[in-house]
Amino acid sequence: MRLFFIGLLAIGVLNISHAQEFKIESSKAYKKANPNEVYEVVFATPYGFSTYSYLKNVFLDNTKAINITKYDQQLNAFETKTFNLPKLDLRAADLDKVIELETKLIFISNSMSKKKGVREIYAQVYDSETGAISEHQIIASYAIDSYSKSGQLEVNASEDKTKIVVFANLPYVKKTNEKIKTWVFDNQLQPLWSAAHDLIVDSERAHDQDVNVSNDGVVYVTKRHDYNSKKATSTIITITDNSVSETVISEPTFYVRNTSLVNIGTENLIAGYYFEGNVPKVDYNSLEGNATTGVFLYSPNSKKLLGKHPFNPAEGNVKDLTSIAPLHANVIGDDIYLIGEKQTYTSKFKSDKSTDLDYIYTHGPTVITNLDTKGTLKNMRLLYNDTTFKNENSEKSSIATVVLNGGLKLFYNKNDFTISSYFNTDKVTYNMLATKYESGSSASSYLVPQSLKMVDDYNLIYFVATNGETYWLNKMSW
Amino acid sequence: MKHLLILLVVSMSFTGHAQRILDETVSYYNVIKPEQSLDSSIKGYDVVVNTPYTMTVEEVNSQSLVDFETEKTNYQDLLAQSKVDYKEKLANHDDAVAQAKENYDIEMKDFKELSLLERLALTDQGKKPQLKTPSKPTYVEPREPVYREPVLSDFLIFDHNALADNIHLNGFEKGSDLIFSIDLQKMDFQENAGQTFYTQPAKLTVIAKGETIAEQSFGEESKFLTSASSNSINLNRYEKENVEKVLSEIQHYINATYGYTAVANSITIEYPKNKKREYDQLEQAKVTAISSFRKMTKEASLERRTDALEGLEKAEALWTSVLEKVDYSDDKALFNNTIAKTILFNLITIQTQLGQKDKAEANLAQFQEKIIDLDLSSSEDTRLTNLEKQIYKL
Repeated sequence: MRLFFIGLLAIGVLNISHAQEFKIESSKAYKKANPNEVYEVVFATPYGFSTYSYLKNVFLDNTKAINITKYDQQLNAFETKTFNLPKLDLRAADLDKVIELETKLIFISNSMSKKKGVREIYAQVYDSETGAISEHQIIASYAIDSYSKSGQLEVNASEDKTKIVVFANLPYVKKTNEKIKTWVFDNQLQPLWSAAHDLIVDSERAHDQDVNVSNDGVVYVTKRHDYNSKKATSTIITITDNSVSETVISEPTFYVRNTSLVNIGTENLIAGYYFEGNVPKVDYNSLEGNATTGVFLYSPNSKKLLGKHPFNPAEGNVKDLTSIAPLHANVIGDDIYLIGEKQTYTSKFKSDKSTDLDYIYTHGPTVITNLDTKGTLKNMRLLYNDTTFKNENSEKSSIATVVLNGGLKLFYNKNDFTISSYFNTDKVTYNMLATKYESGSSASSYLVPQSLKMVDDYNLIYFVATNGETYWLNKMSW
Repeated sequence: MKHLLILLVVSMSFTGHAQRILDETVSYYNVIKPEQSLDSSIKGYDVVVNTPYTMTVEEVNSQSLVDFETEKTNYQDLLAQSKVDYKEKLANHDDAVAQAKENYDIEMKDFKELSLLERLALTDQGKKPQLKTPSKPTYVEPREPVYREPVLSDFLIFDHNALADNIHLNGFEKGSDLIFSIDLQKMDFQENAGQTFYTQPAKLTVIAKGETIAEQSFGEESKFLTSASSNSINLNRYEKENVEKVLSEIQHYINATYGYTAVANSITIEYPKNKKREYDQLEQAKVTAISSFRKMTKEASLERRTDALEGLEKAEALWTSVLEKVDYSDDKALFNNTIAKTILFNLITIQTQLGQKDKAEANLAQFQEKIIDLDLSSSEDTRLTNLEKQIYKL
């Protein structure tokens, strides 16, 4: 599998009218200080960009550092800033969400103290113009009983990044209804409203849900309750500053899997995947994934299922399409492009009898569905880009998209470095991504899809490439 | 084994007189009659649609080119701005280099103050301060706009002739005896408490041989559109959909009022097996009925339909004459209860499907009168109940 992918990059292009020549420049090779460090590209401009990095799956209690580095046009680093996430007692906060604004990054994190019986949610703001990091501020908090009874926390931002939601399922209390708390902020971190509610469902220890906030500050929670029993329900919870409504949308053989909020201009719709059958069984630690039947579109405003379509792509076997989760939802005119991918992972102790864990990820296949805003299926296509990787190698998997010239471009690793249109009408075979080691010897490399960023108004894309422990920053222009 | 054979022979002797009932299914088109019959001299119709939508594909394409010109002009602004940004970037570059050097000097000063061991350790970790200055920026041009063909479905473009051509009056040919004139107004959006409502009035005028014989209004009442503000929705899309909806409503109205609409249906006719030529009359009735239904095609003329109905009346007469011969008290009779049930089910089913309520009710009454003698099975009982419900809906 590894050989299959080494150094090969595939690019799918939607609505590309003619073959384009892509030019790729790569930085000097570098190595990460810690293999678990994850790099994200931000503030992409024609004259450079920045990256921020953090440690993934590292359970350090005392220090969690964020490194922000500025790069110039020639892909050379020239300024690095390091700051720590806040601490509560001796416990460093966990990073929940990073929101990129025009010149600022908002880092939302949380920590808890059993001694103080509290979980606190923090915000720190990095200003790219001054290079300053603000003092952390506590934007929300709630009481906990212990680390194992601390509830569940979700943070998300609206599509236009003007609203931020912090959503907490309060700690489990036997034989009571579930209690939730919602805080909504603007992107200056000014509180807009907050509310506490009791839901109809029973309190649970863990919650299977998707939390989204719309551009106008309405919070939508898709909740999957009791999925391993015949009492399974899928509920859409709509929360505003003064109301909460719970709508059960599951039916005896229709249950919702992962979802995404889609803003079509006229209203917000929930697009996602569904399971058809008697019990929508969920196994959270399985590489095979959970059975998924197809794609659906739901209108929370009219409380109407606009359309549901079983997977039936022209290519491939639908049996591979398990545990499909939305990665990107792009709206172009009246077209909704929902890109979903099988994403499963499992963890096990390393074979050397240490207490460290190995994480094994499977990402792909990816299914691209084109629906119109009425829920009609216009097209469905399957991309066989399935990969199983251990630990940090998983960053090579998955797919990136950009909207360009009224179309959608797809970037992902596959067994050939190819540029093709979404409908396979404009395929151009392209060279392998050629990078060089520090020694000067040639090295082919993978795209890290999560890192890919396009510069608005310019034919310019930045991304990170990798091969083993070596990394490169890249600039693609055309 | 021997006993089993005897039992089989005995049971066969008991069923020796039982009739085997067969059936045949035929598809046909029934015609729903209009609420108002037009004068028999009216043979053809025409439709005229007037709308306020005058935009054409050519206009959209030329507007698209105009928009692209605007985009190109805006691009000039973007280009100019990018040059300003570049100059600013270039002007700030010296400051950025000076700042980097200043930072380096401070870091180096701190570094030099460390002990030798600490300096060696930091150097070993690659953390020894290094002077990193940003490179001198090179100008990059923004992306030039690319012309894209307009998506015609996003515009309110209607071909009035095509709209008119898609409206059909069932049972009539195109002609000039009858004119349906449709005047459609623009969709009017009203906002109330953040919700959007709409009206789109349309007027239908029916002109027969130059004289207006009817007028009907549509779409005048205000209807709910969406719980979003009208400022935030794609009005063109809703309007385009609504034009089709209103015209579809008008087509439905004119067909219900004046048209003869053929509706696909099928019917199953039952008859006894006629190996010994004992049921010739019933076989004849079945053949006549099936043949009549086959004449009722989608395109069948009124004359042909009349002919088919006459054929069905002949079949009904044959069935009725056999019904009179039925001996309800003798199961072994040639014309027994089974034959009676077959005939009555045929008659009631045909009459119900053709909307002949009086005839169907009369035969239903006859069926119910003999219901004890007829000794219905549970499935026959359900079948009769369903027919009964259908008759009362006629």
